[in-house]
Amino acid sequence: MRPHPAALRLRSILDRLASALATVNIDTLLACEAELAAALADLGGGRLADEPSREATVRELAAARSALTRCRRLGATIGDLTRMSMAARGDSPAYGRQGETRPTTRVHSLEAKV
Amino acid sequence: MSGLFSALTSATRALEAQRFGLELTGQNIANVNTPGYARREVVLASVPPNDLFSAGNGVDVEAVRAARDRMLERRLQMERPAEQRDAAIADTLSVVDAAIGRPGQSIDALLDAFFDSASRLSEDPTSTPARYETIRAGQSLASAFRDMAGRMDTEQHAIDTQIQGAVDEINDLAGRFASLNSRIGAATDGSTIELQLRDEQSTVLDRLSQLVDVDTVARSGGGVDLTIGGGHPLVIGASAIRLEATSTPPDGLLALACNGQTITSDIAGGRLGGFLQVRDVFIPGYLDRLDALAYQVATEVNALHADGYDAAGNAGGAFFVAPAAVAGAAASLALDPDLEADPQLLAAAGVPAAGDNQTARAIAGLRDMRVMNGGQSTLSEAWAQFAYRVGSDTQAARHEQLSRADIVKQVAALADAVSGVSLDEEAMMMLRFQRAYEANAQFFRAVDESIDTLLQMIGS
Repeated sequence: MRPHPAALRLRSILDRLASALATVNIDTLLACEAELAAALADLGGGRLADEPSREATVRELAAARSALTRCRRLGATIGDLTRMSMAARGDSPAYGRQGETRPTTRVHSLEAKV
Repeated sequence: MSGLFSALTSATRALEAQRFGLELTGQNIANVNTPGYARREVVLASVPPNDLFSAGNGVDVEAVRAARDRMLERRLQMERPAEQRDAAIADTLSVVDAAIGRPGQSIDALLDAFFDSASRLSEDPTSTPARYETIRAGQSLASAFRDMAGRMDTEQHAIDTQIQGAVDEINDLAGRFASLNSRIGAATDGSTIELQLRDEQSTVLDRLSQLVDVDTVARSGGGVDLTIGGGHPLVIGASAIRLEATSTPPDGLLALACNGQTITSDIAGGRLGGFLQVRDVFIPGYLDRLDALAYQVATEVNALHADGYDAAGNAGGAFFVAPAAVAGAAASLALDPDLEADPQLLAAAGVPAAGDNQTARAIAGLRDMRVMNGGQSTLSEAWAQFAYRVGSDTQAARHEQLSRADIVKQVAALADAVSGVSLDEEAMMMLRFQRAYEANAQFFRAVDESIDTLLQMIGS
């Protein structure tokens, strides 16, 4: 009756990831990276269980796919906002492998009240 | 003495500035849950010395600033109307969905009952009770079509009530916004009063953007102009332009006008946009399908009935009143009044001989005939497709709303996170967040493929 454990785990991580994106929780977002990699590795192995668990697994995978779509959509918004934010500051969103940003040009008018 | 006096003045000024800063902190804490309140920041500036031989005159409050991020606020203004539009669509469509009825308990059941009665008539074509039963089943079916079309019409008018409510609220909010524009224009630039007025304006704008897609244009004098529906002015400075909702023939539904110009079809966002879309796009689409089904039922049954013979051996007349056109067929579907009055006029026979049942059998056989959608579906299947369409539209709107609500929540959280930090910190924070997302996103393709593989393995 239980779904495949890896599918269950994948769905749980993707739900958490989407929630972290929605609430702008960077710590959870960073923690999810390793967990997602591990869950992905799990999906490759493991034997599928008997007939009743198949239905539950399909449901779980459908929910995981839905969470993935949610993540992609929220991620696209973040990318969009970052690009807009950087463009408004007269800078491109380019950054190096170590995470360093290029010096930004401050646009003081943006600090002003609406 | 003047040096000592100057030092004392300088110290007093510094104390005043710090006291003001503390007051502002208290104000920020007190308003932590106030809608529209933006955190205040005090901007301190050193007071220059009077001459070359003085160290300076301490510190003074230069300005108070509200920590707002214009870009994020604008993004919220863009997302909110879409979210509220989808919410309004889902809310109103769920009422239509409920009106359609459950599978097997609506028009589909009455279609079955009608064909069952024709089948029973074919077993005993001379039976008067069987004739009565077929006529009653036909009456029930016609009545169900009329009721369903009536419910759609009622729902369109119920939506109009909500449209009127939204228009009233928009006018009220536009009036308040214009008044705030006027007061902001009169307030001293950068004063706490001005900031308070802007907070209020932000709350009004937030509510407005839930009702309609609204665009803002900053005025040079400090106010903000508002336009709706892709450029129709709603507020210009201190003047609000009234949005009018007037009933229009032939159906009496409300049309929206601004400045004498009809703008109904230009309103696409907010709850108002959602209401209009359901009223003017979704429900008419459903009515078209319902009309097509009712028209086909009437014309197919009538054609078979007219080819048959009644109990007296006369050629059959109409079973249903022949619909004049597809449009409006459901609302006007009715049994032929002559047949209703005399069941012996029911043509069950295919030849003018008592006891023949060919026409009754042909009418019962319509159940399995693919007469809808260009020969693709039976009448019952066409109904099922119609009911499924309404259900899936409702679900899609709800899903879209939840998805947009997520984005609104995200942008609001981001606005909270960056509010009050410097632009550099804000940019850094957004970049870090984006990088953290991208670290996860690198696995998304693999996750997608793995889900596909697993589903194939399971054989679903």
